Amino acid sequence: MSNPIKVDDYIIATDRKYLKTHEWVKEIEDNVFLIGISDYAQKMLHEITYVQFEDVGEEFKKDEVILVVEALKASGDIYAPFDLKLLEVNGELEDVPEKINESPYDKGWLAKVEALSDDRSALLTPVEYAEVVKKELEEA
Amino acid sequence: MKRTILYDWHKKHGELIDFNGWEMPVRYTSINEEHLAVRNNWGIFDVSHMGRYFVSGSDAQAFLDYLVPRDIKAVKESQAAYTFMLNEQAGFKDDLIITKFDQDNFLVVCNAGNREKIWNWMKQHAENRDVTLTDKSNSVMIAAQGPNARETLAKITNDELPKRFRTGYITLNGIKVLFSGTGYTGEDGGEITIFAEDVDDLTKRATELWEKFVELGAKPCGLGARDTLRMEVGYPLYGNDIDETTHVLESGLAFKPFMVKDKEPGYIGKQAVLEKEGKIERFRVMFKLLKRGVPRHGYKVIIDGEEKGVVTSGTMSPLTKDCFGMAYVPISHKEPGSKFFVDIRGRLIEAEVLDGPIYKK
Repeated sequence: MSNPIKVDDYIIATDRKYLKTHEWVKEIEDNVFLIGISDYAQKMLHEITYVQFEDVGEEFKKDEVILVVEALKASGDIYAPFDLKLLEVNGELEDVPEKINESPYDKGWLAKVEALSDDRSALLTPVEYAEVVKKELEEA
Repeated sequence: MKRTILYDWHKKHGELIDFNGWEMPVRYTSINEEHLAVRNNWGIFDVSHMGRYFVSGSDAQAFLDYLVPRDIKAVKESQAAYTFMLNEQAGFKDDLIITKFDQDNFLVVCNAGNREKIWNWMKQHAENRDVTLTDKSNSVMIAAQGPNARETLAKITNDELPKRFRTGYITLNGIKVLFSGTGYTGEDGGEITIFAEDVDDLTKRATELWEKFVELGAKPCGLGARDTLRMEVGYPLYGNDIDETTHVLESGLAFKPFMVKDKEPGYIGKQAVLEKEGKIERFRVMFKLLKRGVPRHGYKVIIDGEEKGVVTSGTMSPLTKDCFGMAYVPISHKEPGSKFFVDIRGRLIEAEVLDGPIYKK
């Protein structure tokens, strides 16, 4: 991870894109992406206890909920950044959901997906996402 | 927002949230750690936001006996008794602890969110009786809970600690406190109240006592752990699991000694209790999910494809990792082993009614 951006104590990795709803999206092969949640999101959720995955192979439209991250005091919906097909989920989270807290950008990845459309309009650059976090912190 | 006397300490060490208009710590480190500290060692909670009212006078006993369905006449001196105040429809005005010092002197401890309501309710019913109400909420109340709480507290007092559901003044860490063998976590321990008039500087002495507990190994615990702990033992939280619209007979709390349904000479809500006896349509149960998922307040109970009830509390147990909660279900599904579905964000997860809480000491 080269030169991450820091907003307060929150780290924003610069090798990927983001949604304004705090998911990160990283292309790992042609048209294949990993999805996870940002450091800010995991810190807001606190102790993550469970991830409710949908079935692998299922297709989702942009903005549909593809999985739910459950923490002790809150839940977070994870949205599809574009039309996609769920290829794989991070099975290790079944036993160790706290990996998302410990390593949100790496071991705590949530899902591997295939993009089914070319619409990337929802994706933010790390700099744009840093502004989203700053704004939320100001409003809090 | 309102703050307790220990606010500065919480602000420095914890993460604060708005709880019924009170700026209170939700956690200091993590809910899981705090929860397990109470189950395995001991923890402390600032519960000063609750209301504390002295009720005194020659009519005090008859007055409280009329306001609650519990037989206050049968409560012993120095006993702390859990019960509730009902409205005329037998819905909950609040659940509370009444301590009897003697038949003319009582302490009523109510929930933070109901302080004004209960104060006004008592004022209204105290008219034309020899009853004096005194607001003693400007005090500090600390719950010390866990298997090691008592033996550790014993190190800083020469007095005997009142046993479970018993109350008495003791000298703890050099100051006069009221110790009650009560709490809301399902663990042994007690609740310690420091009244302003008993110390020279309430903030200073209360903070010293809190820090003494920490020094002796207590884990400071926030409202997050308080919530998961009380859920594991099946205790309701006012506003979540019971409220003015919950008929007491539906709550799973309508039994002795908390309530004597046909108590003489009567209590507010009695008529609505007797009328509804044997005729309630829903009941509060503890349930466990048969697959993983996290049930939460407001999620629907689904039976035969239709919405038939509601989840009022739920979590994943930090202790057992069970996904469980409390729900109101039709009376046909109240027995242990009964099954229903919970709609968790559009996904139906099967649940089974339990025959008791997730955790029992």
